[in-house]
Amino acid sequence: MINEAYTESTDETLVKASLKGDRKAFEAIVSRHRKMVARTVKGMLGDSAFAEDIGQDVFIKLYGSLSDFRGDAKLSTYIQKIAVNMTLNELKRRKRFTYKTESELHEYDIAGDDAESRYDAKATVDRVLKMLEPKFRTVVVMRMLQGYSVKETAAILELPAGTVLSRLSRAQEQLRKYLKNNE
Amino acid sequence: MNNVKLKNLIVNSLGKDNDDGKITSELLAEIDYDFDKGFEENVLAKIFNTGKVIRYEFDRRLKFAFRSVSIATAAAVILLMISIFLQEGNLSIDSLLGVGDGYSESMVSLLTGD
Repeated sequence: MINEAYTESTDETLVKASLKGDRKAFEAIVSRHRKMVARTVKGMLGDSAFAEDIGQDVFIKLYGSLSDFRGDAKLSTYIQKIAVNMTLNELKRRKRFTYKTESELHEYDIAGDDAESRYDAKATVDRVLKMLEPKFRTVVVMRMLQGYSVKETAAILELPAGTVLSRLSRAQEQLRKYLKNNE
Repeated sequence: MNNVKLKNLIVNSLGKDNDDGKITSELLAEIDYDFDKGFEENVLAKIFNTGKVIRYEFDRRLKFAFRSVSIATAAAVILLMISIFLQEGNLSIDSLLGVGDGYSESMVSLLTGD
């Protein structure tokens, strides 16, 4: 159980305490940001034990690089960058993108969407995310699941804002088409 | 939330309507992403019991050292080339080996000491 003093502390205070070896302070950081990391990692990779491991590795890497955190940006942005990079690296390393073509997804829908009772919002979101190529999926996850602005997304992904806007627009078009075909 | 509303939220979340993040909040009320119970304990156990952090730190410092040495080496090679060019007037193999103006006899005496 995390002490109330930690839950009320700012990220900067928790980082300083963690650097001094306070494990509870780092536990509070993990607890505070785990859902944000889960949205990125599981949104990109799908909900699996494998995503759970990557999520843990994100915080392990954060702990190893806490001394590099200068506080110029928010801690959440710093963590988000680690999460995105690690997820993309893992996808590249394993060469197992869960990218599916639209026709494959359509077949899945015909087989799996025959009853209203079986409808599941999360499964739908996961399915549309998997349809997208990773470069589009990344910006969509930042926007759809994290609620970041174009500027924030561009800063996290280290891309020009114009590229983010263009990818969002193309992804939106793909999703609109896909969802319309599956009504 | 019905299917049509969800699909609209998905599409609209990517547009300007989501500049304030309200659509994301509405979506997240329906779909909850989180890690398993005991996630924090697992992270801490991995950090303090497996030495993963030490490995990350070692890799990071190794990369930094390699980068520093590479830059210094490249700078030294460039300076050496400039210096050879200024002294010899060209960058031929003989100049690079430092035998540009040497005669074979003087080379032998230099090597043997006679």
